[in-house]
Amino acid sequence: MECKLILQVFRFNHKTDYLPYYKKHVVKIDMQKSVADLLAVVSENELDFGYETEDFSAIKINKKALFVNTKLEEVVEFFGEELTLEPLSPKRVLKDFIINKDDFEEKFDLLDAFVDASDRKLYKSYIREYYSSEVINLEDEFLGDALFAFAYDMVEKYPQMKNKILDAISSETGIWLHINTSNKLYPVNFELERKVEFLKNEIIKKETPVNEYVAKLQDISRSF
Amino acid sequence: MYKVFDNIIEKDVLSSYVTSLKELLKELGLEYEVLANSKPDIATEGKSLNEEAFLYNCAYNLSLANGDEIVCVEDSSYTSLNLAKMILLEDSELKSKVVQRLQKENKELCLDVKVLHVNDILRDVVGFDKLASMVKHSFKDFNVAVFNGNKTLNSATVDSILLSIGANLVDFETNEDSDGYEVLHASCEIADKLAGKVVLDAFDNAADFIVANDARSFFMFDNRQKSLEKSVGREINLPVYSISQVVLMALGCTDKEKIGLNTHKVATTLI
Repeated sequence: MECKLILQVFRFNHKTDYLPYYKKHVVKIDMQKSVADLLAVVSENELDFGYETEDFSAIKINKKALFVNTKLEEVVEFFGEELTLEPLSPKRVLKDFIINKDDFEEKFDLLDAFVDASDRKLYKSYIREYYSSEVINLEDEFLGDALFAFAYDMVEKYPQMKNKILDAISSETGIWLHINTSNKLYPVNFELERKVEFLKNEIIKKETPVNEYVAKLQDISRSF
Repeated sequence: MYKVFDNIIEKDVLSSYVTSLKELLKELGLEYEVLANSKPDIATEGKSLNEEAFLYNCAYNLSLANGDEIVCVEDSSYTSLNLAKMILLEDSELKSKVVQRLQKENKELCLDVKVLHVNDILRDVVGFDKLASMVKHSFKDFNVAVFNGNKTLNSATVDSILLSIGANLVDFETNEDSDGYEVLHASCEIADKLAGKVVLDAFDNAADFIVANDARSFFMFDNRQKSLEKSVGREINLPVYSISQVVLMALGCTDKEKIGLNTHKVATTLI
């Protein structure tokens, strides 16, 4: 079934534009198609439009992060027919929906030594979580929510590495700066909250605190 | 008989939440007692550091209800008690640990306790139509920014309560963002930036005040507003209220102490 969608599409080229702007599009598209297909339709009507459709490509629709392989039927059911399409991180845009992901990729290095190279693909699947936290815009050293979700998975996969992984994410710019972003994702997902809570509890339970901040938190937790 | 849970997070500085709830229940002719000798709500922040302590405190508080319904004045304590009930019903290992600890204090675990939010009472016991008919001071000239935050509950109910008293609801983009409380201990600076963004957004969208359903949000927006102003580099001076306080004012209460307004950092100009 076809549906008419009213779109506000983000546009910005970091080489030529001073400020981003939004271009209105009204499109008729089959609801069985995906967000990637919708971007392709926009691209046909926009000069030199930048977007990605590789594995784990994601954008924001009405402020919520979702993968571009999401079916439009679901999108319209949840958001309605008026959609604002934005890149995952407007601050890191190279061109329209293509962003510089170096910061996201670099954060993987912290756990690289404790996991297998093939695990990187799983880390990449948490790109929505990473760019949904406002903290990445406030603290450059913040390790990012993708790393915490990934750390949980790796503690399960490599239990012998548990202590090293927990220590790696325990710095002051680590897991303690996590904020709840469940409602910033589509579909709403509480898995990250569950994982972060587990990891924090495990860090606090360790006999030897890895740093002064964790020692302080251990004191607080004992006072409950 | 309702049992009011008063051991809310940051209770030393947020007494206004409980003061106003008690006054509201009195105004509505509903009998209540305070849930005496309760353990503090350590909230989801405490749960993430020590889940056992979180569950124990909640289970202890549930055991104090003695068949009555517990009324919570804000989201954090409401979430904690209901979440603990759910976890203890599902996890027999954790449940058995909690039962053992309770036994040492001669308490018995009771999960069959109804935990209500003040919003539930206004919706289900009073009803929106009756509430509207009781209004003495309409809020029709006021723009209200309802902050739902990222742990929102029953946001539609809050909106309906405010519409019943005539308020105009303000749309603002950050109403589902973090209030910053969850990182306050790790970084005051980041917490203030997160909260400052929300308060400034409400202010720039012409809100006359913010309604915060969660004590943690209230703590950030009211108690720390001077600090938020420094963080965002703007003077804001935007009052923050709980839903009980706003409803009390709509019902004609003008006693600032009874409403708990005397303890707010940002002065009230409505009365």
